Amino acid sequence: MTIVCDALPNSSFLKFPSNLGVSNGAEAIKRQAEELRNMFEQSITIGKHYKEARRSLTKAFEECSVDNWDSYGAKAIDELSCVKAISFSRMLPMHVPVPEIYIDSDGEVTFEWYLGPREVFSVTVRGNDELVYAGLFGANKTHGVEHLDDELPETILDNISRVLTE
Amino acid sequence: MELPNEVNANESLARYLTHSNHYHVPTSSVKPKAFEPPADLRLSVFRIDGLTIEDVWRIGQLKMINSMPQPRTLHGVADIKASAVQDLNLTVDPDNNPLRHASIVGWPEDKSERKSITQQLAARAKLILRS
Repeated sequence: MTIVCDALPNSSFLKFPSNLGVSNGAEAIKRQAEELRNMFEQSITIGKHYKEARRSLTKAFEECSVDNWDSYGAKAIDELSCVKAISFSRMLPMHVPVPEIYIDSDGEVTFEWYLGPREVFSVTVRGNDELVYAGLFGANKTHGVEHLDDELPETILDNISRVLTE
Repeated sequence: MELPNEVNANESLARYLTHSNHYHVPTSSVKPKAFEPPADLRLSVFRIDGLTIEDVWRIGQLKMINSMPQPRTLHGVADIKASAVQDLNLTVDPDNNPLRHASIVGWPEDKSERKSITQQLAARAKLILRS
């Protein structure tokens, strides 16, 4: 019998590492992982980031689906960035508050944790798996680029924690 | 009041807020989204020295809101000193078209740098909501 026995990366129940196996056992694990994820996504608490992301992105699709949606020449929402944003939302740890989600003027999706003028961290999820981030924590600031993989990069997690504990 | 051609570091600039996600009511603050540059990297502001707050709203309604293709609401302004812009190696280009209009230019190519700048600009701006 094959069962799912999986690490839980970054405390998120919704993101399983990529299953590259091709055997019957691997296929069974993949199916069970998908069933588990679907079950967790129905949960009010565990699936909150994913559900909020889907809700926000559905709304964004309605509002930002054509060029110049902001009257300042913005590009229409980037569909690949949206898909990656959904994956990103599944990786967020449960204890992290639900971020606000914006569409940038270049059509990319941004997640932002804003507590005040000097307590802010945001991450833009690009279609090419880049995570473009910036944070302001009191007098300190940071910015850079990380790669989106099977788990959230430590840099992103650390900065989310940092803004929440400032 | 006639404004000089050069923008003085002490001048106040108004960035009109046309969306509720441009500001944060619990902390009465301006959010970085308000300073996100558009695709052409020319962020629109108005020079507001010598104006009453009623003048500021009138300009915002006539020159900004009424000229937008989609219906928008004027929620308020982010009031920021030109020096705060210049401190971040950006430039205020006073094109005066329409009258008192200027653009914040000189944004870096790198998006993470631009995001960081919008956070710093927002932190130094004062929120004035339209009542």
